[in-house]
This record gives sequence, C-alpha cells and structure tokens, in this order.
Amino acid sequence: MVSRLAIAALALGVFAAPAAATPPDTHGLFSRSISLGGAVTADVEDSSANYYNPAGLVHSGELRLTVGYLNVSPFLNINDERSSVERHGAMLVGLVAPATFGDARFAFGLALHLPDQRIARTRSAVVTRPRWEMYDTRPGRIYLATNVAVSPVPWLTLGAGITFQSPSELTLDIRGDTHALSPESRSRLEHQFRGDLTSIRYPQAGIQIHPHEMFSFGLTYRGSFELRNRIIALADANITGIGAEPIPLAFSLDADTTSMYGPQQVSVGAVFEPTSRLHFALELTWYDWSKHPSLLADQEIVLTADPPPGLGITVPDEITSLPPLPLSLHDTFVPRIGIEVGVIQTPAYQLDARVGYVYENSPFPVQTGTLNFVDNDKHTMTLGLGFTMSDLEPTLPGQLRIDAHALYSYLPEREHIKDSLVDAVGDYRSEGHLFGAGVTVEVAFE
Amino acid sequence: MTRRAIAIAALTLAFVACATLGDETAFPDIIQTSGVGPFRLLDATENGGLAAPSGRVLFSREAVGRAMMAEGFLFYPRAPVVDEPPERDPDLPEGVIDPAQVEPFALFRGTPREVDGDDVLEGAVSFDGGSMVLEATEAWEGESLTDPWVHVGADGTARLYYAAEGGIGVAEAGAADGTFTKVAGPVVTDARAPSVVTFGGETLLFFEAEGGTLGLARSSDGLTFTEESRDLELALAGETALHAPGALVATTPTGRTVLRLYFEAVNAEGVTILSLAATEDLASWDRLETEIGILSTVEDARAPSPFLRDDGITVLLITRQSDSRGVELRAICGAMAPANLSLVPVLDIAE
Repeated sequence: MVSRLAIAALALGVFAAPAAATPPDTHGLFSRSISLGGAVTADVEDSSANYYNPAGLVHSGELRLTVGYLNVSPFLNINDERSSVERHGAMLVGLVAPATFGDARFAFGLALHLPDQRIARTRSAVVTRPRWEMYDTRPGRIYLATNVAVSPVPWLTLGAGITFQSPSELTLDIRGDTHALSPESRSRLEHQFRGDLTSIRYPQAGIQIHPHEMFSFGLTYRGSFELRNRIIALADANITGIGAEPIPLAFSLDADTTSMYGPQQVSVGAVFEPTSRLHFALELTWYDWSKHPSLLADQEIVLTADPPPGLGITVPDEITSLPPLPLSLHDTFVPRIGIEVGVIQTPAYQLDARVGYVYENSPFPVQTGTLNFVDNDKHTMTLGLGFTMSDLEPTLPGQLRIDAHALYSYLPEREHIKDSLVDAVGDYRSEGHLFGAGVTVEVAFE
Repeated sequence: MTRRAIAIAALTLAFVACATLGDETAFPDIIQTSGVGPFRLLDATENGGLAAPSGRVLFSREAVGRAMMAEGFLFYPRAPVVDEPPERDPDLPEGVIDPAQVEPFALFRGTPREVDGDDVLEGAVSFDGGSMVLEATEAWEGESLTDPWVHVGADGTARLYYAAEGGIGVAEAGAADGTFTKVAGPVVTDARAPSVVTFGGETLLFFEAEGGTLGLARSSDGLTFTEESRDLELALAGETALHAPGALVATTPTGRTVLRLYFEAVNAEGVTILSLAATEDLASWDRLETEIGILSTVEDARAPSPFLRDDGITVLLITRQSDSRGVELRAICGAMAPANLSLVPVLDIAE
C-alpha cells in the first residue's frame, strides 16, 4: 500500500505541467511559519506544510483545521515618490487529515490562499513604466495546494503534491459597419467575447528526517511554472461616412504574454532543539530565477485597409512591437533563520515567542536598459506569538492554537543608472518598506 | 467530533465567501527623468488660458522668435509687422519668418502674468509682453537682435547672450530683472542661437553654425570664448541640418550630472523634428534616434528651449505656426514632461 501511494505521489509530480512563483513565495503562509522567517522545512507540521514541506503533514498525527488572515502593506518608492502598489491581504485556509494503514501513517493536506481584493490579477507590462515586479501583481492570485504524506518509519516522512494556477485566453471579435463621423449613433457593430481560464499544475515534494529528538532535517522541492495569458482581438468592419463606398478594415492582434513565472526551488533546513523550550532553525533556499522567460508580450498585429487614394490616409505596411527582451535574472540563495522560545509551558496552555530573519537578494539586475522591472534586495524581520490551549475537553477534544505574526521588510535603496542618457525613462532610485501582520487559528483534534 | 469539524469547516467557508472584495489600483506611474518626453503642450490651466495655437504662453500680434525662461522672466525677440507687408518669399522654408515682412527685432523681457488675474494659476507659464531690454546699436550687429539666452551666475549677475548679424554678443545686468548693458561681442562669429550653461566648472556656449551644424565654445569667464567645434557631429544618417540648440544641465535622481541639448533636426525630405542629445563629459554623446515624445504630432514645433523646474518637470519653450494680418509668424508656446504631471495644482474633485 505504501509503495502504491508513493508511486501515485511520484506520478503526480512527474506528469504535472511545469510549475510556479506563488503568493506564499512572496509573503509566506500561516503565522507560525511566517514568524520563524519561513525556516520551517525541517519540522513544519501544521497546514503551512502544504507549502513549506508536504512531508510534515504526517508528523503530528492530528486532524488540523486552520483559518487565518494576513495583510502586507507596501511602502515602495521610486525617486522618493510612493509607487502605486496596492496592499496585499488574503484569507488562508488549511487542512491536515491523518490516516493510518497498518503500521504506516498517512496524511492528506490542503492549503488555500484567497486574496481579499480579487481572485486573480494580471496586468501587462508597460516597458516604460517602472513596475515593482515582485509586488505589483504576483501575490494577487489564488494559491491552492494539495498534498499527501507518508511516514514509513518513525524517523522519516515523505510528502508530495500539486499546486494549481490558472492562465487565461481571451478573444474579442468585432464585426459590422462603423460610421467615421457619427460612430456612436450610426455604427452597426456586433461583438463576441470568449474567455477561457484553464488550469495548470506543478509539483512539490519534500522529506523530513528526525534522527534524534534534538535534531531534524528537511528538504523541499517546488517545481517551476509559467502562466501565459493570450489576448486575441479581431476586427472585421467597414468604415462608412468617408467617400461613397465603405472602406473595408481588418485588424487582428494576437498577444501572448508570460504573466507570471515561478522558478523551481529547493529548500534545505535544519532544526536544533537543545531543550523543550528552545528551537533554532536554519534554512537555505535556491531559486532558479535564471530561467525566467521574458514578461513582454510576443505579439503580432496585422492591419489591412484600402482607403480611397484621395483621402490622404496612409496604412502602414507593418506594425512592429518590442520583441520579448530577456529579463536576465540570476539564481538566488535565500538564507532564513528562525528561533522559537517556550515562554510558558503548563499542561493547560503554552505560550511561545518567535523571531525570524530572511535575506532575499533580488534576482532582477539593475535596470540599465530598456526594461524597467524594479526589484530590490530585501531584509525581513519577523516576530510572532503562539498561544496553545490544551485542556479543553469536553468542549474540544484537542487543542486550540492561536498564532500571530508581524513582519517588517526593508528594501535598501538601489540605483538604476541607464546605459543611455536618452533612455525613455532615465535614471531612478528604488527603495521601500513592507509592513505585515496576520493571525492564524487552528483547531487540532487528537 | 465530526459534527464539530463540519461546523468549523462551514464557518470557515462562510468566512472565505465574504473575503473577495476588490478595488482598482492605477497602473504604475510614469517615471521620466531623462528629459526625452513624452512632452505635451501646456493646457489651458497651465498657460493662463491663452488663445490658439495650443500651448501658447505669450500673446502677441507682433513677430516673435525663439524664447527662453530665466529667473521667472521670458526673454524673447519681437518685431512689429510692417505696415504693408509684401508677399512672403516662396523660397523660405516653413517656419521661418520673412524678414521683409517685419521690422528689425529687438529683445524683450516678458513678465509673469499676475496670479489670480485672468485665470492664471500659481505655477502657470504665462507672460505679458513686458519691455524691451536690448536693441541693435553696434555696427557688427546689423539691424536685428534675436535668440536671447540669459545665464545667471552664482553671484546673481545675469548675462544676456544674443544673436546678431556678425555673431553672438553679450550684455550684462546685476540681475535678470536689471538693466542690460552690452559688454562683449561678437564673442563667436558666424553663429546664431546661443545657449549657455555652466558645466564641469566651465561656461559652455552652444550655437548654430553656418551650414546647419551645432557648435561649442568654452569660456572660463563667460565673456571670452574659445571655439572647440563648429560641428559636434550630432546628426544622424539622413539628417541634413541641425538648428537652434537649447542646453540644459540636470542632475539625475542617481546623482549623475547630465548636459542635455535639444535642437531641430532636418531630414533629406526637408521635414523638421525636435530631438535631443545628452552627454556626461562632452566627449561622447547619446543621441535620441527619434523625435521627442508626443511633440512628434505637433509638426510645426521649432526652436526648443528647455527649462528645468525644481520639481523635476522639464518645460520646453517652442515656437509654433501663427499669423497676423495674413503674415506667417511664430507663437511662443510651452510643452512639458513628464506629461502625466501638472504645472499647476490639480483640483481634487472630492473637495
């Protein structure tokens, strides 16, 4: 049975579509893990294991239902002016459901990140408008991950699963006659619109090893993904009101864009617990950003019209657009540190305090050329508290856990000095801060 | 336990169902620090509501030419149309005033139109005609003075560089609003359209040389110039002439000091556009290969003269097609970049 499940889990990973960068990549998932700086790969066991390490789902053997909320407010500036980047808030829901078959323990997990402003957001990149690429649209979409985990022996847990994302294809088709002088009252146009939100999947898998009660180790792989958005606009119309005969006009736009890309990533972490009250965690994550495709649209525009020669209307032979320039990102290694201290421990309740630190060096180069995808290095400091109530029977046969976190990210100033003094944008400086907070409530049934 | 779990799950779903309440956020703002535009013509709130052509900053029924702003004043050449103007010389290129149709030019100093008078808002670029500050008196000057360019030194002394028949002359005053007295000339011969800036500790004088090239002369005192080049070789392939340089020294947000030179470029078909070149060291120049911004749709724009405000907005004075009594003249107009900003306070509808 174990081997069958393992094969099934492996198959999910092998046959899933290429995978993704997600909202949890940017802001984390659930308060305890965020407050430890995300350094939880080695020992995570709550619902956040669905992102950080699915192997941890099976560790506690508890049925866990988790709900939470997080908010991150960006204060990002370019040339000392506040950039138009909206706050990110999201509802979080998680599930860990254990099961046993013989001597082997299993668990199923699910995590949902649902933005509170919109279900998904895609905005095309305007090359001449500097955009905070990591914070503009990237976190603003649904994240749904499902995983299974197994513990074949007490010191080893394995987990794998898939995450879902949705690309889109939109088609607008316009036909009919339009009047050049009175388009609103004398045009006869009809249009059709079609939108397809399809689904792609990408894998994640992990392992946790607990060789000794004072040590644990973890390894997680998250696959890459690429969300493409395709917009097709077709117009086949006659322009009337100019001259005696209608002027046939045909226009087609086919724009194929990578709206979001998530690099494959590997996290390796270790936890050291010298006492039951003290917990040190270290972690390093590799992000394969160098494979990031261009975010500029690969588009084809065709315009055909045959105006009478006397009108002086010139139809261009060819409409060109900027080619999909490479972003030239580089891989990054992100270190994370987390410390948890048991402040109060009694049979009825427990209070833990947590701190964490993450340093994320930006994969984006200084924007010296045509592109203007702004990103800075980021130092993130986190704080958190966890309160666990254990003696709740008969009301609750288990534990109630309330975790809260606060985070502050500092993005030190970065200068973007253009190669050309007549660049369309020119030099600029980027810097900023992020402030975030959140809370998670979890019910764990024994 | 199962019932409690179901109840908690139902509560969670209800919570989630209420979660997605979106609002709209604007696209990233336009950031533009290189001075290449897109420029847009000043609107009616920014030019005091002056009449057409769009962007006009000075109303005049007389002939005017290339203007520049210094210390809040508008320096420009002006000449009355002759009483009975002859037919325009058909061989003159578009945008050039027929000298036979106007009296000799003198230099004028326009004053800002009064704020709150005639709907002029704080920050607007709008001028009254003002008074004459200089006219041709020297033999080498001929009859007309044109192309004024005022350069104010660190001590507040204002030097007025101007073009005349024999070259470029200099007048001086204690301040931009003072009385100008001629002190030197011609400091560069066979040249017109002077534009003077301090760059790298030197006074640089850009000028238009005979034959349609842009030249450069250097000075340590602003009065004695050494010609360095009569052709900075800024023309692109296919361009036959460059005219009317207007220089500007800017410090970018990253601390780079950049000299920008706006000018007219004429191609083989005789089409004139406004373009830009920039340098950090005067040894190498980056040349904009296209027209500057939205002004490409304003085909009659000529004689660019830049002015950098403290808030980073570049105001570009230009001349546009105008006429009076059937005589083809020019009008002094203004454009600005970044185009999404405003020279005047934007009215908040919510207020």
